[in-house]
Amino acid sequence: MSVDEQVRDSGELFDNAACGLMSTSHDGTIQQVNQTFCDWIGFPKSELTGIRKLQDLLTVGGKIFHQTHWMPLLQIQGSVAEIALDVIHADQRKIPMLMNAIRREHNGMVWHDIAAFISEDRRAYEREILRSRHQAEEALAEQMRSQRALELAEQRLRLAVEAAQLCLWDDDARQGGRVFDDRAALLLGYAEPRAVSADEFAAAVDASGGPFPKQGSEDSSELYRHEYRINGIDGIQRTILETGRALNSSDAPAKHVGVLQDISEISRQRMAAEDRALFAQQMIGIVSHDLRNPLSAIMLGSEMLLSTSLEANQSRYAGAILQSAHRSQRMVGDLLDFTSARLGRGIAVNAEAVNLKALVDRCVEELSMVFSGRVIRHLHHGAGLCNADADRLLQLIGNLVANAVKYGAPEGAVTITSDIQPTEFLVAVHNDGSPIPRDLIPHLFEPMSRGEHAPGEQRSVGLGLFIVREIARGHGGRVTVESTADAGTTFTLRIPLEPDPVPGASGQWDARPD
Amino acid sequence: MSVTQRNNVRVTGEGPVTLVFAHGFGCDQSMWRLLTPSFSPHYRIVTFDLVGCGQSDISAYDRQKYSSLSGYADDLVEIAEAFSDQPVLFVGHSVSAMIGLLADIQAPEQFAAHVMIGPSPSYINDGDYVGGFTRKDIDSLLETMEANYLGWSSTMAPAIMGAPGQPELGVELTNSFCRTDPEIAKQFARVTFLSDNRSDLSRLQKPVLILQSSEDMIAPRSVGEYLSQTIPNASLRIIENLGHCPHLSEPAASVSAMREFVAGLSL
Repeated sequence: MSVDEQVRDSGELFDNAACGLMSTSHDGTIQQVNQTFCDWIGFPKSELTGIRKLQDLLTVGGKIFHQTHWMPLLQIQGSVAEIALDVIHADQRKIPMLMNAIRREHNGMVWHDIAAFISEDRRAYEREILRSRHQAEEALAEQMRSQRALELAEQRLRLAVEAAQLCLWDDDARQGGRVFDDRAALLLGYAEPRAVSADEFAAAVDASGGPFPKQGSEDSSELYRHEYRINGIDGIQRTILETGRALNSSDAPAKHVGVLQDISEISRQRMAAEDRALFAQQMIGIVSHDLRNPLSAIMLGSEMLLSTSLEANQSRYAGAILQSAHRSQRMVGDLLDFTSARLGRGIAVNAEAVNLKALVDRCVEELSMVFSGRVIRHLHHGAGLCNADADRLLQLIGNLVANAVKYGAPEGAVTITSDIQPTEFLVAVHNDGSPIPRDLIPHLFEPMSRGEHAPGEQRSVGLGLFIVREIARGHGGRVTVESTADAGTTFTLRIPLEPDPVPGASGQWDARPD
Repeated sequence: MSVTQRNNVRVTGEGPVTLVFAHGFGCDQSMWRLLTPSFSPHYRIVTFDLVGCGQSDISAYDRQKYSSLSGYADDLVEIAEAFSDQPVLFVGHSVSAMIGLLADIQAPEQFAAHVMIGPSPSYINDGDYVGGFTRKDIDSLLETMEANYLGWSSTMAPAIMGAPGQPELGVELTNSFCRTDPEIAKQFARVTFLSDNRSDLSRLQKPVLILQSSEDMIAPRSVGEYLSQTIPNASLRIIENLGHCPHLSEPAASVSAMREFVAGLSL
């Protein structure tokens, strides 16, 4: 057979081409279609030619795309290529195809010549690529979110480190030592941050603190703290608090990180505070021993003087001496108690069974002598013994009565009421007169606060009510105040009969008598 | 950035009245190439690309702004303000007809009348209203688009096999047709096909010409009829045409319908 004889008829070539071929009129109606395309989509030629439009064979999405993209493109540029569309098979399957189309005018008619290729594998592959791309985009978005969160965290850390003036270090296995951030230079006395080597830093550490870094301190994954001193190049010795931790990781040698903090100021203040506390303690000793003794001698002397026969003038002077000595002794006592309470030791309370009525009666007797010319009354209710420190109760009542005399109506009586109730006992001190200003009440029991209108010669150091409160606390009780223009002013002490031990209070409680 | 750059605005023609043309979903302002030459001798012609389409400035595409048609309406008002001192005659294809509606409600002083080509206030069927599509159909469209935008995210453009009889089309221009960032194309498809402007129609007081193709699956005749009954001052013209783009496939019929409409206006 010659080659000529082997050349196939072009009609047969068209029909059995290795791709789908068709020609449609301008509205998409199929005018000619080859067998390959018919076989692919399961329709006989007779059901396509002159009957169906290309777009009838497409999915809804494909139809829209055909109208909004394919048609305009074909109109404007005369051709489209590599359009991916799903063609619906006679059995409703979707067959992915790639199509090319050319617009041709022939004898005044517009024709669209179309070639189609099945692209199942290619489409599956493309979907795979699309899916991967979406995953990659999501991963990227996620990574960017993490990155932003990390940046924010880093900025916060940096701000915190700068605000607290901290210096960070970590160790670098390759460099075989610590790597400090540039702020370490400030700890060494430089004016500006600069790089500091591990050796330079170690050389500046004061030798009195032992070897540096402290052996074994960094090996634990627990947080450790270590204080040492650095001799700065500016001649200033700084106290450094090093806080660090080992970061253990299974696949890498342990790494250490740490924070350095200049605590020179803090330790200076701590030492100063310790000095002050020591001084205060010494003051207590001086005041208690060196001041109390001469006061006692003055009181004893003036009492003895008063018991002898004196002229009226002499008797008046001796009385004034005694009164002033009493006041001085109270003030010294207040000062001692204040100092003791301020140093955190509270006020010592040694409780024992006390006859409350007898105690208050005795107190009224003594105070009437001190505040001669003022009426001091005592009303008692209830019966029984109370657990209390008798001397402290006397001191407390003395302070309250002194206040009542000082701030109350000059002509009015001071009334002390004592009452033993089922669960608590109370002592109330009342005076008439103008009430305590409202804005003063919240701070009334704080040290150094007192009424503005106290007459000058009766000034005290303003510790009276602070000590009253401390004594009440020492007994596990409390003191309250009510003050109105009509009812006058009443301070009320309430102490439970069976007090709970107060944490931190130094009072010791005897067993209650059965 | 200027409005001109952002929307790739082009001005041709000369005349006292300005016509602003806005293309629809799918391609860009080159869709108007068969229509505008008929008007340019007597009118000033402004054509532009919606942001995200054609040769608009892609960097101006703000997902938030263009998550509804009102973002596009804002742009249209700016274009009308920038390119005409007088109220313009607006010609909107497909989704742009609704963009014109929103722009008119927002700035009525900028618009004299509207020509809506293949408009639809809502594409999804809803009770008695037949928009033509279901939500599932729109997903199918997004899928088709994704398959076809595969290569367009890189520098590859659809290959051109040659355009018989139209040698003037340069390759560069051809490549830009219907080409856009796939993510933008998807969002624009969603914004377009899920929009519902039925409640705004009665607020449009200007004369409106609706150019309705006799066979248009995207905007079926029932939608054109619904529009002409709902917009207070609208007239409906059916153009014998298959498809969504009568201005491309039946430019002569489109031009004559528009001329008639414009002649009836006191511009």
